[in-house]
Amino acid sequence: MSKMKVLVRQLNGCNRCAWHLLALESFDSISLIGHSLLGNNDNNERVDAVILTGFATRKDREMLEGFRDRADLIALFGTCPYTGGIFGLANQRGASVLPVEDLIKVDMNIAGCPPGVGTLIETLTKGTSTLMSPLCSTCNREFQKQYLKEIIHTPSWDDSTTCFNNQGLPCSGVVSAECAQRCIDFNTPCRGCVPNVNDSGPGALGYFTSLAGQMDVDTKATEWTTDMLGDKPDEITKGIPDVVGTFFRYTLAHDFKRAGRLPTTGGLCSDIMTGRLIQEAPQIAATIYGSRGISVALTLIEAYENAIGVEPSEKTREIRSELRKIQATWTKLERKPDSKRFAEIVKALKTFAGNEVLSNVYFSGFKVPLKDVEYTFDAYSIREIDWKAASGYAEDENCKVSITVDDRGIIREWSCELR
Amino acid sequence: MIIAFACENCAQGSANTAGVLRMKYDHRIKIVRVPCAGRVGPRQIIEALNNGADSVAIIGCCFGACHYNDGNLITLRRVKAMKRMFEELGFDPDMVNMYTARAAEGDTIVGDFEDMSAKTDAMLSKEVSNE
Ligand code: SF4
Ligand code: SF4
Ligand code: SF4
Repeated sequence: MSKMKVLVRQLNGCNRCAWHLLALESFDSISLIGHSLLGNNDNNERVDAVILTGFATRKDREMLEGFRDRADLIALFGTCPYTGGIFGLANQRGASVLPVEDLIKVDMNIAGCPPGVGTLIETLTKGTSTLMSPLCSTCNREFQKQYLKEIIHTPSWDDSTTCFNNQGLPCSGVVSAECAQRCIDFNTPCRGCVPNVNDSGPGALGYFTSLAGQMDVDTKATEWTTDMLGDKPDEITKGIPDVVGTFFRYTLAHDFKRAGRLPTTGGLCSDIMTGRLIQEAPQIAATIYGSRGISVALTLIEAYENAIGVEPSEKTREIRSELRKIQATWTKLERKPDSKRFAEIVKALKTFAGNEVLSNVYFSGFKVPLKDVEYTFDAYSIREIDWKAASGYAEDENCKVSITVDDRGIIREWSCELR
Repeated sequence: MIIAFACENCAQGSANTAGVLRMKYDHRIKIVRVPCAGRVGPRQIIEALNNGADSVAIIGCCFGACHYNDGNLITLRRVKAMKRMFEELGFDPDMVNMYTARAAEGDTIVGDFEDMSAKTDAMLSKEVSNE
């Protein structure tokens, strides 16, 4: 059988997916014609498949049409090209992030942030997308049918059996398929990076707010004596201070077709970070800052810890410094990207952070026991955190982060200078 | 265009009564009949807006009078969260509203219609002045 000629092209934003696709070099059935991370050796020849990573905007239309013309098959790898992914959140402030499918015809989607290369190979070999099981069917937590008593922003840390939605913490597992990163295994609710239905954001929001069907909501009487919904703050508005970032984390550009009208903060990443809940910020930063994500997430955690006066334990610091070593290795590798060495980085991340988007890494400590470390969990587990309005600053060898959080836990100001 | 999802019980009943009385309402309002206000959620609201509606309203039975027990009360929370969502996107929270009506009284739904037209007009004129 002749080899499949494949071209890998990274569009915009995080390049973690592109790093994963370096592994295509080692598959016998594939001949890698070009790869964005390996320099531009593309001579515009016809190829069997173009695999796209990263997010697209309207400006990419012409380039994408060019790929369409020269390839038999266009496959999207990662949630970014599929729905706009997490970068779609920038549309809140007027960006024009778009699903690639809004610009050209696409043959295959492999969703995930990031997905596994195995799923791509399987899909390419079979020629069609594989049917995935719903995430909830693979989750250890159980749903009890009942209305919510309260809406919360962190899970109860010692409960590993109750569905997050039951606890009052939104989880988009109900609209997601099984995935490569499995945040849910690290006491972190799913934010829906592998949508299982066409309108997963509205679906998840509808589901959760139905569960909240008994929370206090403001109503008022009209002049003609019937009732209507009121506009005063109530348990719903207080309970869900970031509706967009919670339910539309990975699908805003796909689900809602109007550009948001908030003023931009001046940068893509700060447009995404501003408005998010502090409790959710480490994973968001770890994702959008791509190959610098480890550093930014840890520094942001330290900036807020400094601001509210939380002292992480010695073991927590030790594990964080292991993570910074992984960051340093990755940064060095950028000069000469290599798939085997990247696989080692991913493996190390899984050991010290749970997964690639650092789901286990948190303020004050770690959420669940790490595999393959000898110390007891008590030595590095989360301590009580008093979430409050605060401003803080921290830096490391890769970045300087300053952050302002308001009394609802929302990030009001964000700046991150990469060095 | 304003899409008004009207439940087939009180809201649609009230619209029928208004019709019999030949009461008038804003021609921009397009009624979509639904079995219950509880049938409407973010999916339908966003679909209407993605397809060009200026605003969306949901009209159900009065509180305590829902023919499916509490469909209207459940949708209240969904609509409230969506108002927040629109604010977070820099839009007017009046892009979606929720009302109730009484089948025997045509002026209840016509009153709802007047309120949604006024709110939509205010929203659209604010948008023009911002441009
Ligand atoms: S943000 Fe996620 S989906 Fe997008 S390129 Fe990075 S890892 Fe891939
Ligand atoms: S909604 Fe989330 S926590 Fe609940 S069962 Fe599904 S994946 Fe698990
Ligand atoms: S659990 Fe995490 S990795 Fe899996 S689908 Fe949800 S957000 Fe994505």
